[in-house]
Amino acid sequence: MSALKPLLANHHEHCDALFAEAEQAANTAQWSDCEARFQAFVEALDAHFRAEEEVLFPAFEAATGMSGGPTAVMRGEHAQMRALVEAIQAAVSARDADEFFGSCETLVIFMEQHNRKEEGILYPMCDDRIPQAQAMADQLEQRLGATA
Amino acid sequence: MKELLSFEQAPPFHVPLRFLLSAIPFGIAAGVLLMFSGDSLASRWTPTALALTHLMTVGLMLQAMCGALLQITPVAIGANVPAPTLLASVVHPCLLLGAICLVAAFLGAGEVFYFLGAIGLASGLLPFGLVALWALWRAPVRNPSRKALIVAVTGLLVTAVFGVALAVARGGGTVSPALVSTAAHFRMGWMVWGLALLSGASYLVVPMFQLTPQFPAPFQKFFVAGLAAAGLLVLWSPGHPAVDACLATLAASYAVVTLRLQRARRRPRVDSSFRFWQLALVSTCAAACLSLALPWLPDPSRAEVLLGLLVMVGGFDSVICGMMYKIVPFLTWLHLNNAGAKPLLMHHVIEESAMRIHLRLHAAALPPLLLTPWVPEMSVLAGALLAAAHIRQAHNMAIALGRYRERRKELVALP
Repeated sequence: MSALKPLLANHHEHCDALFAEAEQAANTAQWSDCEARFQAFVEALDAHFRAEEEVLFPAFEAATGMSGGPTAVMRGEHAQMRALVEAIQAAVSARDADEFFGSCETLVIFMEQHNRKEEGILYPMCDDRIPQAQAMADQLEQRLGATA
Repeated sequence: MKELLSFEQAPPFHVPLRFLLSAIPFGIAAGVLLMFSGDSLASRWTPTALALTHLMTVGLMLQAMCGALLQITPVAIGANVPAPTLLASVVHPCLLLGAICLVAAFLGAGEVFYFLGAIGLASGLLPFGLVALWALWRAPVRNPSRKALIVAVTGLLVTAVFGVALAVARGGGTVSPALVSTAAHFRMGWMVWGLALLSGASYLVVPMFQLTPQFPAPFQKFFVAGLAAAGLLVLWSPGHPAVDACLATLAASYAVVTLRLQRARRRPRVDSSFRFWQLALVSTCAAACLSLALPWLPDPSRAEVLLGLLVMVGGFDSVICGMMYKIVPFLTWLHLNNAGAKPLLMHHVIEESAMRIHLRLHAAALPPLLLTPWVPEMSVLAGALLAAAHIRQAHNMAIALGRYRERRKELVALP
């Protein structure tokens, strides 16, 4: 049964929605609103990354015996996204629309291709391999629920 | 598990790049040829019209689509093409040589060039198609994109079989009469290869680029099945009006669904890449409507040329330009970032203002181009604008490549 994939894919969608709201605020030059909305996105994204890095990935690694495989790649991509988020936060602080939208472009494509890999390959494997996947999904839902 | 372990392995930057960059000179050549085409676009059967068609299809489209396929499949469905560098080093020169020889043959270089073109294209397409199909078949992700790409690559191979047979026949060789079918060749090429590849890529990139809703699940399922069935109908009776009606309906439905999704996008700003996509989708709609109307036109020969121009330049050329302006800047950033170089975000790889100049030249070329079958004098203006658009595209790509090399040099120079 699939428990982890729908939960985490829905949270990806939630992060996308927050990101789009921040862009829409920037598009009308409502920078204070943009700042608040982007901060909400950053908190949701960070909660998602930490849920994966602290709970999901260790469980996957324990279940499969792999620690240098796909989870290492995903951790590396999380670090790259965190760096992109910092560049966007600097653009928001500087009220620089061109830099904001330009940096968002890189983040959104990287984030979406990252999500496709997780949803297409990693999460189904987690559902298959992790014992008690449903219990883990319940635990993650509680963690992520605080930012949703 | 093996596929999962390797799912980060996108090909080296030079693999998709060599194909994508090679597409552009074919666009420039098509523009130059058009400038000197005179009244040759009164019919699709003139040598110039055939040369122009193949500059756009086996030149521009084939190169760009090979590059895009090699890059997108690992991300979309985890289908890692094995030994991509080796594959590209075999396939790329063969396809280039094949396309150049075939165009030269249409322009009267001699019958031997038909054979050289056929050999080059077959030598490139056979390994590419078989390796791509093998990778797609083994892909760990079983989604509609995978099915669409399998249909597309199969359609490409079938298109190539008819194309090679036609080239050999034109060169004076002997082939089975069943294979000498231009009707099957171009329908299989436009619809089954082109449209299946475009839809398979769209399922991934349209929601990704603009945060649109996903394509409706029933559409994804039935569209691919419809294209596969239409492909079989093309083989059974390529010239049957019902086959054309089926293909045109599929093309129009794809374009309308994609346009509707783009209207529901959540990202507020549109860029040149998005405008290229819109041009392509509107052209595809127009081409589908024209295709349905063709049987009722009293003298369809000029309208058939218009159909070809809408499909090749309005449709595929536009969408390829739009895709390249996302793929090349993103890969430049990604590969520099992975190498540990100083960050170069996408909007600093190619500025939006530079892409907009290309978009305006491309869009300006379309009205005179679409009038050319009836007003031959327009061919000079249309050709000049089309060539200028692709020259500007080459300039933009050169800027991107220059910036990539600069950052790589800085990295090497670090203590």
